[in-house]
Amino acid sequence: MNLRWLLAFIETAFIGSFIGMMSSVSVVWAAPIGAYQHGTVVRMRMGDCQIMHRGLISAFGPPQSMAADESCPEYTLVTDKVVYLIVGKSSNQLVPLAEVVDFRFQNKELAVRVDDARKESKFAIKEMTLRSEWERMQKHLEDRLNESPHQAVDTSIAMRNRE
Amino acid sequence: MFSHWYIRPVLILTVAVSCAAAAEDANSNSDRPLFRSTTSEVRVTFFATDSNDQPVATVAKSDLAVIDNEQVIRAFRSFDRSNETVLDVVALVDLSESVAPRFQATSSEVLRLVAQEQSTPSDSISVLSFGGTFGRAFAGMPAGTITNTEPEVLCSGDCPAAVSMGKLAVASSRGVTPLFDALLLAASFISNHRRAEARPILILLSDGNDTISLHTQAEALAALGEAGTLVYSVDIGISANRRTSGSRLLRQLSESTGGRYFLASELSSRKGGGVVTVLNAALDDMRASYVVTYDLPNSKTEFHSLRLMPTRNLNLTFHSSRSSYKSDYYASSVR
Repeated sequence: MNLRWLLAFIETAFIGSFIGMMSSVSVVWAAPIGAYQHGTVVRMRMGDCQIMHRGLISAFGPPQSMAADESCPEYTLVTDKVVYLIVGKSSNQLVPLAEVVDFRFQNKELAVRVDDARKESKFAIKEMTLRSEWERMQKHLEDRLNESPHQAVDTSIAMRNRE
Repeated sequence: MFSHWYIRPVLILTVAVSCAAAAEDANSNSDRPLFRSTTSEVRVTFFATDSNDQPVATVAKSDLAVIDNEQVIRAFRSFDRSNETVLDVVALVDLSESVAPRFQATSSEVLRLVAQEQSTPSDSISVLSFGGTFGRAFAGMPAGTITNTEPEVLCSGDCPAAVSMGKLAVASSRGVTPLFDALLLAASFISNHRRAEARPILILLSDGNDTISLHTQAEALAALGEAGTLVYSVDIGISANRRTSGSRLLRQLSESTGGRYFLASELSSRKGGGVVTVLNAALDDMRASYVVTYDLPNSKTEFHSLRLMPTRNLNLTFHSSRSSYKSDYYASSVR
């Protein structure tokens, strides 16, 4: 009888630890597919890393202690309702620029799923704008661009007097 | 002027001339027509390498995105294999005092590279040098004396037969390092000797430590970009540490021109050995090259920066000879 209880206990403990192990693995690698939102990266630039280091700076020293020449990737991620400006933690933290990017929120950060690496990459959120507002601003910028004298010139030929 | 346009292979330029404008010009001697070109399509030649720094033979259109002035572009007009079939090789050899410990080995490598030209007749090899002295140095000449600051063309396409190549055999490693000036000379040389359907590459054998140039690093990089050449740098510095300023510069030159960086001490163990390995790598890169074209994106500025990024596999690195271009510029006036 005692032996049967012991075997049952071992079996339960084994199954429990297996389930626990599998769930922790899935947390390390990536969340279930359904947990993700989808978006498209439309812009990328290398900007300063200050937003990522702000916490460290205030805790350990003055702003000039940060490496001045470090640059971090900054992405504009467009979703159905909101446009996010996200910043990487180091110069080599890159996002695959596929048409559709899967992401989710985790502890005030934005975790982007990186398919081939089977993991997530976390970014700080620098700005959030409603998509309608962002599109209005883009339209405004485009209109200004088209109105600028440089672009208005007939590009097929230009005559200029030689000094 | 037209050669100036010709060295911009990544751009398809649309130039239209107005007859009325020409007639107006004829009436006034003081006015000269100024031709203005605009870009309608951007053309980028590239190859990809994997995490082991080996060229990737097959790349799909959906594997990459172009970042043109921060804008992500995935819609391409065309995507094809490059039609470049041969290499125009220029070897630029540093003979200055700072590379003295490796000088003999470097000279031998260059002579071996020149001998390789006979086995690949379609590829053209030229050799340029900077620093150093040719022939015997004067007895008692102090180390570091400025001896030969002018970069020099040792041979141009006829290297196996060139008498001037014999100078390399008797050269001495001396003097200062006008690296940036030499890069400008090499860029000009490449522009003037360009052949259709030939890929120009510059094999730079140096420690990367410029000491006396009249020109700056930025000027050298701009000239290399204009020439559309890929820089394959071979670090012959005495330090095995890749973190020296010279090594960083060589790496930067290679990365920004779409070429590759090699450490001389590691080349001997690779297939072919020495500089011939670099030539073989350049040939492999050319065979794995593609051309992608896309519509010019709307932008405020004439100057466009370019970067190619993977869409799926972050282990892919894309190498392009062009890291920037100008979308709209004035050429000089013509009679």
